[in-house]
Amino acid sequence: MKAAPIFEAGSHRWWILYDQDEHRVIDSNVYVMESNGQSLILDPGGFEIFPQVFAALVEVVPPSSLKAAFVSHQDPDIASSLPLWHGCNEQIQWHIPKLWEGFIRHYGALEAPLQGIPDEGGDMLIGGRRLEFIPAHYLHSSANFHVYDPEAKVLFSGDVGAALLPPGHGAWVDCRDKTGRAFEEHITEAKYFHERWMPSNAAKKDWINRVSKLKIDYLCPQHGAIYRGDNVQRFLDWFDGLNVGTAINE
Amino acid sequence: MDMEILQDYLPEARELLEKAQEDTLRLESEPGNDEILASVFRAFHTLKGGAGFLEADHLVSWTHHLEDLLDKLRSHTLTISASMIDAILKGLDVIDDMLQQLAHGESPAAGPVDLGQVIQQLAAGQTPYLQALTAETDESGTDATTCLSTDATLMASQRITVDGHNGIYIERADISSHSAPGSSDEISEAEFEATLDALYGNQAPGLVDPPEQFCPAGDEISPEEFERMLDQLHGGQAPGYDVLERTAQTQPASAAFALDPPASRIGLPAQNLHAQPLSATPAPIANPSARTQNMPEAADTTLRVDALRLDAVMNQVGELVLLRNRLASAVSSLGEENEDMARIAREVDLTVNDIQSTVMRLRMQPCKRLFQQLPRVVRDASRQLGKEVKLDIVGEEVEIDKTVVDALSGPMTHLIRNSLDHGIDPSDVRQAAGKPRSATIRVAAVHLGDKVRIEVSDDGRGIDRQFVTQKAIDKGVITADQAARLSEQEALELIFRAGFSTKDQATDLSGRGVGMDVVKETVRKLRGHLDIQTRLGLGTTIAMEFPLTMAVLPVLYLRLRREIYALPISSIESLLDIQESRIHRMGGRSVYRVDGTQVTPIVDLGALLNDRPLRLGSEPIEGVLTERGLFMVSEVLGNEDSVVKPIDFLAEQTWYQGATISGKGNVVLILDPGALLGHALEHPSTGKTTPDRRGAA
Amino acid sequence: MDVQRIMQVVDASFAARQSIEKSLREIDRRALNAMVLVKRHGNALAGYGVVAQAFRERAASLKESASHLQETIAPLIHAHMRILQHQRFVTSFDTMIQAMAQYGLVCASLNNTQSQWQKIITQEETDARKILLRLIAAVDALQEGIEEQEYVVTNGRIEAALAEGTGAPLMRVSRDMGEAVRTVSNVIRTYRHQLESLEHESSTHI
Repeated sequence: MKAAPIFEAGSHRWWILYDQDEHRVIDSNVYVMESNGQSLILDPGGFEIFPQVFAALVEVVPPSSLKAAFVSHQDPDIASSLPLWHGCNEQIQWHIPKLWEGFIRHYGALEAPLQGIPDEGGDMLIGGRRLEFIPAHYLHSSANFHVYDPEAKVLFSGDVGAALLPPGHGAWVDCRDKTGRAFEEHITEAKYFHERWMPSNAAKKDWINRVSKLKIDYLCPQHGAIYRGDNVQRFLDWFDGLNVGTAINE
Repeated sequence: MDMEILQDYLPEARELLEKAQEDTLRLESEPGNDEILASVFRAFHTLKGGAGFLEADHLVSWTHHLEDLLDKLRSHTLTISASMIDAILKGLDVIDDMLQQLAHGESPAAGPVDLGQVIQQLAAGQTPYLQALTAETDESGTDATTCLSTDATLMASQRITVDGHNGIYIERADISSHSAPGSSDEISEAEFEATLDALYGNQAPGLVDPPEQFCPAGDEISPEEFERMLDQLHGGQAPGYDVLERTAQTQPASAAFALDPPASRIGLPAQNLHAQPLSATPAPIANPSARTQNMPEAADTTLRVDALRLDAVMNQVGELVLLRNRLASAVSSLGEENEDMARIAREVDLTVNDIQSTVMRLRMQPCKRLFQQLPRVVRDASRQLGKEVKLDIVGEEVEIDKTVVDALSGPMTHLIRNSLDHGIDPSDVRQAAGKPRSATIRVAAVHLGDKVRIEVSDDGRGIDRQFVTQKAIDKGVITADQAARLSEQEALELIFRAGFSTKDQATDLSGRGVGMDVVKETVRKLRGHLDIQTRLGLGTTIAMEFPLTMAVLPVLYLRLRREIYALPISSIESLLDIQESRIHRMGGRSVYRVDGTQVTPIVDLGALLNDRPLRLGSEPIEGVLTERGLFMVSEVLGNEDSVVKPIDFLAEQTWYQGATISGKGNVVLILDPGALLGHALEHPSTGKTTPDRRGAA
Repeated sequence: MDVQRIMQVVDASFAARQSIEKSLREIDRRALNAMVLVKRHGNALAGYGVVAQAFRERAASLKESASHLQETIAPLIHAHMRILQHQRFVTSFDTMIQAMAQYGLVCASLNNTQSQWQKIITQEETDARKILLRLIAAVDALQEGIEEQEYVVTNGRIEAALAEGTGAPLMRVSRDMGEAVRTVSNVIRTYRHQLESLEHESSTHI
């Protein structure tokens, strides 16, 4: 896996760890936010890819700086590495949807400190900076949150915006192309994922209303590539017009 | 007019002229110095000789009158006076004009009649304010009417010339008046004079074809005669024979030397002997030893080469330097696997460096050439202004690129005049201020590492910054608002702005179309640096620093985000790691505290060139400290000796000095630190680099 | 091996890498500074120019060595995390075996699987140790490079003393160079000690 910077302003940084080496499990992005020497890992990933995520992580932050982890929902590609991280560093505070607490402990970290996020969302402090938990329920998990950094204008959007890209993919959806053709090409890789994994048009509408109020420079999904600049709005418009829940909702 | 002879004549004539002017000025303080008198006399004489050959009749007659005057002075028939020196100097100016006309391929027009009369009257021992005789009668005054004897022959010999070189001398000797050929100095100067006068008389026309009935043998040395003389010298096996023959056929050069007293040194053909093979083979220096063996005395240790050829060599060396850089870059990318290649590359590197510095030296000229006009300027201007001024010249021997010497002549004159006009205070004012009555202007050239510093300083009244600022506001050069923001030094530098002149009327002295803005622009074009220091009541120093050579420019490559630029190393003090705590805002500008004592303006190249300030903390930033500001860049990459290629597709006012080709073969723009700094200071808002929370990826 | 021990080494690697990178940038800048100084003095400082050039070249090769170092750190961490992951299996099999033992049950295949994993881990620890030795070798190479650089600095001091007459601040430049080299040298020495102690532990463990 590779690490690449997303945002950097003094002691405030965002990184993406992407393009994993193991292809038998779904390719996932892991994000790291660092503020004043403290760091947060977002959707730390599955048990299988833990060694490579860890090795990529310590290229950009020292492991001792890791103070907290955020888990958007209960899926194994997101949270099954929890006991290993806990084994490395028992001080890590885990922010997880409250609804999933008992499920997530099944990954094998009975004693790990879990902080449940209530359905309406909330916030947390890391290195003196406040991050917001934005509710994104039913997209696709029944209890699901995204994370917004108002200073860096980064939205970690979990499965929303996800695309299934081939190995060796880049970290970014090309935004230099003003016509948006690069976006059009990219979004074909995201279409089926959204149609099938996202169950509810109502949930989608609710999320779009919420997110449209935020100023977003970087929309960072857990699979695929980051939307930046004009591509953020392109994505929101595209998602708004997309019919989801297609397994029953053709 | 024979252009080839003209090409050879002009530079020599200019040298003679410069020398004559210098000597004449020296005569003011040493009026009785026979050596100087003789030197000035010879100068006019030689000028006249060449002019005759070029059929420049008016130049011949003009130099003849001056020569006549000098002859009288030399023989102490007349005593030198201030008015004579004035007349001689003015006469020199006329010759200078005439030479310029010649350079344009025109036959010089007649000199000014009144000055001509004054000179003639002086030569006749009259005071010039007396009404002169008519020009015609005067011109027929002193000539001899003898004609060369029909059996006049040529004699050639090898002798040491006056300047210590070996020369071939060809003399026209009247057999009847001379005994054995071969013994030197048979013709006395007086006789030769007479001969010349016979040839040219004061009847300037008729030079080409003197009446044959009087001089049936002709007064020209024909090519055949010249050949014969050489055969006598070298027994028909003369080295360079073919070349010489060609030379002799294409130009009736020989005649000119016959006219050149006291005996004509084959200055011109000797040079042609050198110059000719030079054009035929690219390495003329490679074979002079062979020639010197056969013709030892004829070879000269100096040779005059067309500046264009030097430029061509320089350009080729430039290409070689670029290739060397590319080779070095290519070899270094091979890694350590290829020791041989690396060694070859290193040796090429050294060899090219040697070639480069040798060729560079070819173009170097002593500052003397730049300074020698100045005594005259000071003399004339101080007289005109009625100020007492002493001129000190230091460092005449310091050498600098020819381009600088050529381009700086006007600006130097202007700086001196400016200093005399505005800087030097009147003697009584000086005395009252406790300064010596006589002011001193000091002109100095100093060699500083890879630079030459040329200074013009005076001990005059200094520059009043408030006065300058007010003038600038009055003239609309700056607004009152802008004026309020200027530092002391910036206020001072207003005098270099176009449209600024502290005198409401351009005086006669500050005329000539050169202003301080032109001085500054010239310095900039020469990649130099201009600095002004003044102390009120004590004086002003204007210092110009120029790179030793214009040919090769050591540059520092730097990266600004994705682009690579170059900065001339000569402008760089050091490279710094930027620390946020050292950045401060002062008077609406960002400044950097380099150390306890030095605070310098910040120039954010990101803001200037990308329209997007560099964000400290969000992207890598390194600092390049120059003399007058700190440039913020993304990364400093390395240095290289580069060659400047002019860029002409850009607007006149740019931030670039030119372009170069990097070792990797890319075209890289060379930044002009002065222009960038000027812009950043005038538009302070763009100079800010503050930690920014906005992201960048 | 103790996870916390590994974490300490990972943290040390991170710190060492950062300060090596920073010092190498510093060294490179010092070398470039010296080059600028030499260039600005024409031919007078040609001797020092050779030193400055050598200094830069060495700095570049140090950067190269440092990147080799980085290339080795990542696999070491990866290997140890893999071991951690597999120890997780061993631990869960342990838990199962013990739980069954409470009921007096013994499952041979479970024991077998557990010991299989133990063997895998032992092999992985041997491999990790090899990587560690390679890392130590890379650190040694870097250290050698630093020693050469120190030699160049000494040469620079001599040249600076010879060129003192030119008035260029070469002594200061040489001192700065020396300091930058010393900084990186100290960092590397400390880091090597940390790696050595890990190596010692892992060899006794095996």
